[in-house]
Amino acid sequence: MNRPAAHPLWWAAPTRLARTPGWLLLVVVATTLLVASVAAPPLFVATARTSALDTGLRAAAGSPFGPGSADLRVVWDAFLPPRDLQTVLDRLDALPAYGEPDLGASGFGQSRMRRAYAVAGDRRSPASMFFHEGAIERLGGDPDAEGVWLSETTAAELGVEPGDRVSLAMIDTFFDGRPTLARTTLLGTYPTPPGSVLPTVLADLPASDRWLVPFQPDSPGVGAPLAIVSLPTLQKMSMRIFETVVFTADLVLDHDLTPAQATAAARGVEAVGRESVDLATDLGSALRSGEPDPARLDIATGLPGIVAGAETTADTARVQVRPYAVGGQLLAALLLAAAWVLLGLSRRREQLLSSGLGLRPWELALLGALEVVPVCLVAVPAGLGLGVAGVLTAGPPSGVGVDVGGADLVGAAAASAVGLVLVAAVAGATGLAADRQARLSRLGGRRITVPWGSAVLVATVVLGIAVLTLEPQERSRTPLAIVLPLLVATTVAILVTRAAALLAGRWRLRSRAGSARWLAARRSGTVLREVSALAAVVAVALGMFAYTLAVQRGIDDGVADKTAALAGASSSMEVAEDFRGQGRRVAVTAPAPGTSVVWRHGVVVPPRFGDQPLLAIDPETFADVADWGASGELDAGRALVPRLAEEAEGVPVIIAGETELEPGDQAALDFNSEGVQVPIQVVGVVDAFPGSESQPNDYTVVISSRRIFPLVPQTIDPRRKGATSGEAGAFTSWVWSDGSSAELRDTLRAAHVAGDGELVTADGRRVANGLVASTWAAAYVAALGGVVLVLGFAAALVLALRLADRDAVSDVLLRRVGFSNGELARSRAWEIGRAVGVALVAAGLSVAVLVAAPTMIDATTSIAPLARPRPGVRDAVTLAAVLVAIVLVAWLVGARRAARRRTAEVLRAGG
Amino acid sequence: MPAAEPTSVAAVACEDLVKVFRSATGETHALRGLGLELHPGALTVVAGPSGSGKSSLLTLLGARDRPSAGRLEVLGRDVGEASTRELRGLRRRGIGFVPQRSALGIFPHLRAVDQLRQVAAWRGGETADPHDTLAAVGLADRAEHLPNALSGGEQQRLAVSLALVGAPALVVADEPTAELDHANADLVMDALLAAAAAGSAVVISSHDDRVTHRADRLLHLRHGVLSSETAGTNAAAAVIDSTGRLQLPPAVLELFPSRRVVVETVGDEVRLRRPEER
Repeated sequence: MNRPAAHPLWWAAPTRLARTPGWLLLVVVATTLLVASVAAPPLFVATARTSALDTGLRAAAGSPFGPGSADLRVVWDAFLPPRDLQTVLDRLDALPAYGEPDLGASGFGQSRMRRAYAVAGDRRSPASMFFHEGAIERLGGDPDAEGVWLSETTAAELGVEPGDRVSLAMIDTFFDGRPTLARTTLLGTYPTPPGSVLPTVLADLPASDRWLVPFQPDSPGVGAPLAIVSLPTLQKMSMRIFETVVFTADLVLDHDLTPAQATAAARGVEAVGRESVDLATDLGSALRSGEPDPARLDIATGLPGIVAGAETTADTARVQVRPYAVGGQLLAALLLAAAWVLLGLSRRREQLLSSGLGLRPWELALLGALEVVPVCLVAVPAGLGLGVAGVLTAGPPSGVGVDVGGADLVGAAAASAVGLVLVAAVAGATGLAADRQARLSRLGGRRITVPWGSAVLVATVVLGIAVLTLEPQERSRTPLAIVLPLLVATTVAILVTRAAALLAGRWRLRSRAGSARWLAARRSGTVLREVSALAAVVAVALGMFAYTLAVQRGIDDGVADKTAALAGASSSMEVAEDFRGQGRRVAVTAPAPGTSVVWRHGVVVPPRFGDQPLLAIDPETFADVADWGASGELDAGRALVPRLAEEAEGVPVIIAGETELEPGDQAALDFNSEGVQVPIQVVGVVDAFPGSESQPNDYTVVISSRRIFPLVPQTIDPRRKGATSGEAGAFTSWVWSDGSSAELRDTLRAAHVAGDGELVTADGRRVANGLVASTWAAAYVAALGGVVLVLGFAAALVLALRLADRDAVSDVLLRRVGFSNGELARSRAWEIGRAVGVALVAAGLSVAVLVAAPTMIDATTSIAPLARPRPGVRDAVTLAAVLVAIVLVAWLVGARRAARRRTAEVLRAGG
Repeated sequence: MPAAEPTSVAAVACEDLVKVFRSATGETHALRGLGLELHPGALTVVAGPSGSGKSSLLTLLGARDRPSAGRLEVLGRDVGEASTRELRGLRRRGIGFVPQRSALGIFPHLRAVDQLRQVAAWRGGETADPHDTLAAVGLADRAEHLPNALSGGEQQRLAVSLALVGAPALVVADEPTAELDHANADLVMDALLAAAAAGSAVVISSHDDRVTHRADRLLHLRHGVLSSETAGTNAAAAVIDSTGRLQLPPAVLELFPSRRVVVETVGDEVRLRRPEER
């Protein structure tokens, strides 16, 4: 006699699933998807942040120091003792993510009445003092020597050579008084390249074009000739001639920053700003010692704005992705639970045995949990990998990859743990149900049958009404955006599968007796509920897959439409003066092919109060240059453009936006000056128009500039001689281009049009208005579609396996009465094909319903036109291909399983 | 092996036991008011034609289902009134059950000896070496095999050994020798009789004369009621239920084509005769 010491059932549990590779694969896939669905959203948002930051930094690269650049320029206006100067430089050097400070200083005391000169005898030539760290060394001079370096041109004008005495002075050109001279020695001369005041050896340095050099008072964009000096010389001489000196420390931002590094750098910059006015800090104390006055630090960088913009984009992406992320998590959890329920069904005998042996539900739950422990261990890295792969392939573009941190690992592990608990709960509940079922045998006991079909229908209607009561923008921000389509797909699937079951009898009658199809019809009848249920699952999966395809296209097209409505064209630049004051032809003629001149103004359209945007376009060139979006929503406006040139009862206009006006209506434009009203006739009303920028309850009036300019008040007519952009009420003029911003600059330069105005690009508008986050959310939806497609495949495979199991005995018997293996396989393929075909019909119907319903996918409804799901022919082809693939795979799996069975074993085990 | 003397405390006691199965097409009365007592130390065989209610009765005795009506007490527990937890505990420790199909009675992923170890652990108490239990049903050399490596007969014997391991107070076996050859059927019967001899109440269903002849008690079930009972070498006795109903054997029933009978008492005898024709 001995006491049993071991509990083999528990020890065997962790390796149990490995004995059934098919189920193991299904559970691994389901758990991995669950982990990925939890891990992906934070990775997605982090990548969105990185991508937005990357975009911002790339856009700012090479820009002049200031708000448009991520690099840092610190400016102060006083001489600091060497020790304090070093304190300032050390503090700047300590800034994270920035390189070493590059010190420079220049005389900036020039004005229209005071000029900086180099003087030799009675000759003088313009020359401003300039210092840059390392400049004299590059010129081949001694940085400690006192003296000045002048350009060869300046030296020639002065008639001096190195070693001669020269003076520097600030000369009052208005009073022409006797200037104070600061005498020094000409240490050397240097050549300058054409168009630059810097020595050739310095002008060749890559960063030298960003140095702060003194400029000519008459031409602020042109540098003044330099008198290069050392820092001690600069201090001594500037004091003597009362020159104002500005110091700069330029710091270049490191490349390939992570968002955390960029945030740290931005915070560091802010800290420097705070410390500069805090005398308790070393920096503040050092600046206090400035001569002639305490120094004031000015900080110029666009990094904080770029970082804040990246954060905003990430937040927008998070909000827009959240409903789909939650939907994905629910789906993945559902898949895992369903997988375990189906696995339980395949272990029905064992469940009865466990119940018969008195296993407690919590023991069954623990056994289930033990079984999936290895799966969960595999699923953590696999899910994380899948999440990373998904974000890399379908997420925001990121040149620096996806950074997986400790928090992501914890999240994945937590998701895996949730999966484990879910499996345990399902296993325990299944055990409990098996035990409780016995109680129902008692006479008078009633089985509670849940009317699932009706429940789903009611839930769909209730939720549908709830969703419709939300504002369109709110709809896309709740998980209802994915739950309602799921319910709709489920309801349609239930209705269609039930209808198909009713029609199955007729289908049976039309098939030839003894054929594979005939056999399939008779076999389906015996397990109709199960086949219908699995067909419904496949239908829901295919429906959701097709819907996600339509949603992705809808969002992408919607973003393109909204971008077109916001930006109007690929790129556009405000041109202040070039098209004004030169008559009608210049005012409306495009400066080059691929461009069009667009004028903007505000106008009142009585009886509505307040200005409405007015877009005056050139109908001849506008349509070819403007961006008309992707969906065709804006095409109606394009078709109306030629009508702006036609004769009408007033100037023809197109109204874009929400208006009470209708085509054919007549109204007037009031320019708010001199009581001039211009009669107009509406030739068309559209939701959105390129560049319309209409807000809700607002509209834009689109009109031909050729027709409107002769009618506007003289004071604002841009054609009249002397018209300038600075006049009150002036039109603003823009050149729109269908090319890139660089191409537009080149085009304008070639046409001798100033290219320094405000630049608007479609990409910029997309980022600034959160639309780029929508496109990333669309990509996430596509990934979600992939998940539901896996669900569909899994359901179809289970269907095939269940049918193969069901036919285990009958296949043997049917073979003995003359059915061939091929016929039996074809018969099963017919069943699967029929089930999946029914699913396809249901999927198509559910997508049709969802597309026809009010949109739930537009996250930026304030920008017209509304984005809505857009099914395409490609979706139908994709679905058909998926259908064929599912049937083929399911048939192959079922046939292989059936072929591996041994007749004797099948008959002995009762199937 | 000498049979243990049945004790007076019944392991199973049922009265007016009714089992009704509901289906979409109506109700099926599997048991119609059955009265019975089973005592420890005896092997009882329930025989009867297919559909007579044998499996339903054994499922109830195994505490795997509840009666639709009537009273059923198993190992001191009222099966109809006990909680799910109590029934679970009863099945876990007190009842060994062999289902009609052997594959239903074994874990597919555990070696034979591990299955016995696990069930013995649940039943608790002092128990024989699992290898000995396997040897008792002729599976000593199959202890390390998984069920899918065993033949149908071996799986059947493994299921029987699982029911016997840990010496449960009640062993219920639904046709435990159905898939066995004579030699192995004898082995299984020997094991079941040994369990009865060790003090268990053993009840099995069978059609096999070789099994019924070795029973301490043979119950015939027909149409959901006990029709007769044979104990040892005694002649078969018809069973009168608690409401006074008596089920006649088919041969006797043919004597009463009108399905009417006159019951007369003559001394200590009861006579049945056809009513006079009018």
